[in-house]
Amino acid sequence: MPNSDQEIIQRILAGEKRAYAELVNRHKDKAMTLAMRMLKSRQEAEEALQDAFVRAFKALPRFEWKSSFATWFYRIVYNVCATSLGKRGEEIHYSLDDEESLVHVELTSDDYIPDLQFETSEVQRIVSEVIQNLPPKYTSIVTMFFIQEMSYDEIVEVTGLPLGTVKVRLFRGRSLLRNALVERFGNDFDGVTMFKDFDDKKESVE
Amino acid sequence: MNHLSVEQVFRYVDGTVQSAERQQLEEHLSYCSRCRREIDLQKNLGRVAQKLPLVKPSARFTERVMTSVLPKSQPTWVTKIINNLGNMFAMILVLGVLGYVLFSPSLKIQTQSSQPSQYSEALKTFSGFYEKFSKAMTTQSAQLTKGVATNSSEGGTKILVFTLVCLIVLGTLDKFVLQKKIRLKS
Repeated sequence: MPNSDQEIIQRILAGEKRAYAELVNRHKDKAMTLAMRMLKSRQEAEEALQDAFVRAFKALPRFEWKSSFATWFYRIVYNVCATSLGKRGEEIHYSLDDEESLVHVELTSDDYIPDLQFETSEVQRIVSEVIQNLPPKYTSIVTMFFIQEMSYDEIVEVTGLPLGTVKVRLFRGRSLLRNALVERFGNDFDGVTMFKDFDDKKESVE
Repeated sequence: MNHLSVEQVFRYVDGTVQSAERQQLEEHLSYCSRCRREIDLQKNLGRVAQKLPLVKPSARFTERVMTSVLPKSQPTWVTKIINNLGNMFAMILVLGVLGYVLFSPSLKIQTQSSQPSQYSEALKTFSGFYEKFSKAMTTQSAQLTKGVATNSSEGGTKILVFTLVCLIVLGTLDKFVLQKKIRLKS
């Protein structure tokens, strides 16, 4: 059975510093995905992630287990990436758009929601591409919600944003994702169920 | 009832809708195919998004992180010597050639000229000082080796002594001045 994050951290703090490699291997892919989505550049994302891991290592003795290691670590990754974006002049902590209520978040294709049919890998590719191309402030929240499977509260903790702002950004991100997908392929893939290979456990809404 | 709002769709899909509202929404969904398809679309989108392949950092990423966080081990004397073998050979070679040029009788620098330059004067002073120093050293070594030193080995001894002195001076300079400056910079 693999060691928990807590056990690994205890070993590191007891002097077995090389055990940190286990933590790095465990979290690097998900964290890299978040960094890549935010910074949109592989090289910058990797540099930011390395910086985040070094910072986390130095701060480990001060980690108090008020949250999981993953949440705490993603906060470091998020802040490092936000700083990089800030240097580029892209502010993601706050913007006027966040003031808008959810009423203004609308879906397109009010009258027509197409059934889409295409291969699973194609669906994945398109969804991945659309998420990657969302603005950083939306893609970061969407990535944490879907890929890291974080709750609203955890996202609030990672980003330091108010709950309302997190909700607005997530709703906007999901709406943009949905609209981009439907607008791009809606009329071309009519007739059969979309995501057929993902429908094994689909719940009926009858 | 009107179509479900975006917020209602997301809350229904996320399972965060309250039971009273859920009943109301499900009643609407029972006859509205448009909203049903919207719910299906959002559920499926969420499933696909969760299963997207992760972006992996490069192969040696963990190694690089560990190199950054682990303290660098202090090199031993042997490692230091091995790491600097090339430098030492180069230094000995340069100093040996310089010593040969300075002390070989056949290559004696001609310092006689009508108007000696500043440099040749300095060189003469240095040579004079060094002559005295090496003579003392030679005498010393002759005494130690019970006077077996010969004229033919005198030039070689001078070169050897010169090389050793220079090595000591350069080594001291490196140890106490250069290394200190490098440490301060880093």
